[in-house]
Amino acid sequence: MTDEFRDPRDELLDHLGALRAFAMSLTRNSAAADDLVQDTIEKAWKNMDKFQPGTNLRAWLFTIQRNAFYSIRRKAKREVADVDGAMAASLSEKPAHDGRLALNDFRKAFEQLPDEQREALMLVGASGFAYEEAAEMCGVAVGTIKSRANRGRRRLAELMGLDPNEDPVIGDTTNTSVMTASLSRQG
Amino acid sequence: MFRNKPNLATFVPVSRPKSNTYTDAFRMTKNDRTSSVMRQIDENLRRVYKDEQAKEVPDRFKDLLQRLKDRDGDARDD
Repeated sequence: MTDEFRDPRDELLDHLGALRAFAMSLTRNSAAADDLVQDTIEKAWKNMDKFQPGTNLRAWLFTIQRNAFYSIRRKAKREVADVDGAMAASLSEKPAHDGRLALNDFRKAFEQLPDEQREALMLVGASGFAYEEAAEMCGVAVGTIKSRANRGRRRLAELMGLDPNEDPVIGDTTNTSVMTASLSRQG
Repeated sequence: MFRNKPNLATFVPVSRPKSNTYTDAFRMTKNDRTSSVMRQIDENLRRVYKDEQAKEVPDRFKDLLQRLKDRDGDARDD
């Protein structure tokens, strides 16, 4: 190595937590998530010569991981995500406080989103990648990632009862009747 | 009094006049509310991810990395 950069192999350990979190969001099942992470590490190790030092190692690893996930998914040909298992696991966790309870509801809502929305939200909402980076990682246009993330956010808001369009006070109906009243007074 | 009663249809126009303080006020409130909800959503996403990421990495992964390293070492020795 000519050592402006560390050997990326030595950095893999630092990314394991993130890889496991991303794998969990993709698979929604902790056993499958860990198998996916193992697969990812082995693939990354084998292809390490293709990694360009100085570029974003985490993004590179996430790309490998999502490709591995979809390739397994295609092979399996059946979508049996263990939503029940993942839910049972999160329910069996002892709630630490009210915030944690709300967070568990949020997790459950998140698990209900379609793959592509979970993925987009994980990348841009949770992990802090730029839309452009996420688009490149997923091999789609930036606009596609934006729309997936926004659809996911809106769906989560609905599932959590936070839908801004369903506010009883600031809805369009109230809006219109307020205007009507004020204009009637003028008449 | 009813002579000037407005036709409701005219009060949900596609583009509302900029000068209408009522619609502007409501539109802003709604936008503010939307972005506040979206901020909450993103905040929750980050918390879930952070929690997940902070979980202790099982030994199987440290073992795996060690195995891969050892294998590379053997390959170079050959």
